[in-house]
Amino acid sequence: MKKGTITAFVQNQNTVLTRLMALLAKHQFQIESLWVGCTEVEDVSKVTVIVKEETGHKFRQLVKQVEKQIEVLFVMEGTDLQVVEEQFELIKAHNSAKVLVHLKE
Amino acid sequence: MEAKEALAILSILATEEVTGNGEDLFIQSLKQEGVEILFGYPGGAVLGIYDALYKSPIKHILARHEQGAIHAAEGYARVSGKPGVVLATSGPGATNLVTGIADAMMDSLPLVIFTGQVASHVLGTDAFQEADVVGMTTPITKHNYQVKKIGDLPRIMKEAFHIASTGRPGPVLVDIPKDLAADPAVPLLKIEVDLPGYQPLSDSDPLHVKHLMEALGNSSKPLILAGAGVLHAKASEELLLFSERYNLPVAHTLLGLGGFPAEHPLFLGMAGMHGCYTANMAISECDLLINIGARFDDRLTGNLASFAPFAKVAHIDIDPSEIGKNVETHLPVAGDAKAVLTAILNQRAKNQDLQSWLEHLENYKRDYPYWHTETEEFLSPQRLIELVHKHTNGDAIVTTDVGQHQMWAAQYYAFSRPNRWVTSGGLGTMGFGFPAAIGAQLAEPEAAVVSLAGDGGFQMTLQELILLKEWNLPVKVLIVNNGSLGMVRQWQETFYGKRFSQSVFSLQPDFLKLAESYGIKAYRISTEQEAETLFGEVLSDREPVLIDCRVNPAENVYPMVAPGKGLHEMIGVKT
Ligand SMILES: Cc1ncc(C[n+]2csc(CCOP(=O)(O)OP(=O)(O)O)c2C)c(N)n1
Ligand SMILES: [Mg+2]
Repeated sequence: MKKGTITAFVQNQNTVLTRLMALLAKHQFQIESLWVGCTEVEDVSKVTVIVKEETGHKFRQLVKQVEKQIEVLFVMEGTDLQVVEEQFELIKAHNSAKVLVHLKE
Repeated sequence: MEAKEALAILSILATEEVTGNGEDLFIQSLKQEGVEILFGYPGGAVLGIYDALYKSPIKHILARHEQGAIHAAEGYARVSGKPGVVLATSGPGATNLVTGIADAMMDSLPLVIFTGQVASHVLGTDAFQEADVVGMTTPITKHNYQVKKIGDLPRIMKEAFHIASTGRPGPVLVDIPKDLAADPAVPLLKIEVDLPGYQPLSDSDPLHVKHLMEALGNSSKPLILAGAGVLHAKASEELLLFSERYNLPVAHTLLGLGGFPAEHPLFLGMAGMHGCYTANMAISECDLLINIGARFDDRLTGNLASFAPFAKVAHIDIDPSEIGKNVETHLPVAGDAKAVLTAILNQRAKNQDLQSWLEHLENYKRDYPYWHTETEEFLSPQRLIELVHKHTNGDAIVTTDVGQHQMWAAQYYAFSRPNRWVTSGGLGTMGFGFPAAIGAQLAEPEAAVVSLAGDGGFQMTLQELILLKEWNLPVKVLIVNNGSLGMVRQWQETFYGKRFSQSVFSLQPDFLKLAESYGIKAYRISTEQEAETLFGEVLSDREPVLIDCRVNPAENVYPMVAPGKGLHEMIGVKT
């Protein structure tokens, strides 16, 4: 089965992980792996989830739902780590969550 | 303390009463948000807040159950467009709110809910009246918070009101540990909302609007499906202009009713499971379906495999995650309904000749309207709704519970303007209607408010009757009394071999005596003539009244799209 990867940069709030996990459960995704870690930007964490993607449609719905969460600054789907890193370099360069506003759009 | 903070405090000291702690800060923040009414219930964890309220001019409605408080706040929000504000204590106070929170989430109602919590140092110890309210409400809130230090409270409150009432509205919960609220604190002015991850859409992509206009120019069977998004965006006028400019017929979802005037020749009626034949056939036959602010709920679409089979689907929605969720969408337009409609009105589409399409729909309307039979023996519930319409000039705020009476109200009370219709759509919450009517009446003290309650649903929240007396709210409570959980009984009759398992009440309370014990006038009617006479006398009164309307207990709601069937396969259509 194809796998889906979502990487989300989130504001550090203790409820954010609960929210993301609740979403995954609600949409019946099985988590293959989950990484959560600090970033060099204060108050911003990076969450990467790999799920057993069931259908393209269902996975896209999940991405949209993740994007919708208030603490989620920016979401990348897919495994293109280079793109993820590039986006993050931008964030670091500004050292601010605010630039993510533009990225998220 | 930072210099900026100190300055802000000084400026407050200059203008406002010097205040002492988090509880006062709480009241001050409410005032800054323009909150006039709180719906709540006190308890240990919010005693301090209630103490601060004691001195405050904010009106507090003491419901008799937290569920009543939150449904009232929902009714208030639905009618006023402003956030309904709820306050409850920790543990059982908070858990009693859960139904209302889920209801508001489903129907996109702006609520700000404050719950007390046990003191921070005992959090996680299963302390008295501790419940993980943030955990349990995470999936049913647009957002929620637990306050960690009192200095954060003004910012969190500001954000909570902002998040609840912007974008796609929804409930936001703020959990406040008891000790924090009592901490010494100083008020802060000038808090700016800074939520980089929350950027509600307003304007849409001009290219998407252009594509929609092109599709419209090429369509010979277009249809608008308008949902509650139109009401939330206050876009009824724009909808009317759009429809009239291109002669576009309009169907409503259950929650959208009132967004487009029911008496308008281009209005087809409600679509969906108990919608009208014309609206459902229009969806099934149209070649362009323009969904404005509806979420293609399964009660609306019926079997998705045969939903709008010939249509290009356009979907205008402020929440991008709704677009393409249930129905494949060819023309997505993410944006606020009012902004998008305004953009649409600023453009021109090629005008198509829609004459034969409109005539075709007109024939459906003439041949297959809603229908019901009337008997000598019983008052027909459909006729009852028509009479309510007549005696309130079609302009009352109507609230309902969930079930048959709700569907009859949607079918027979023709709403001609927005925000008159208050019903629980997405969650389908029995017991919603009566407390919601209380909130609606508080939002519009001058309006005629009719609570059409199921005899089942009313018994779930009837304890709020006392509020009518206490606040002198002239709500008219009409119990559509069919002696049963009618909608359950109907399904059992139709799909479960008439095995009426637990759906027919063997015993009912005497609703008149009940009302009288609350000091409310009450009547019983069981014929059309009695209804005519009584409604003429009491529906325009400025006093509350309860009317036990004994209707035909065997009546069913038709037409209907049976479960698993497509919209074009309605049963019980007029023959
Ligand atoms: C809280 C809740 N419990 C159960 C249901 C399931 N249900 C849907 S309609 C209905 C019957 C409602 O009876 P009543 O309020 O008398 O309305 P009627 O259908 O008779 O008009 C029931 C039990 C529900 N919608 N909400
Ligand atoms: Mg009933």
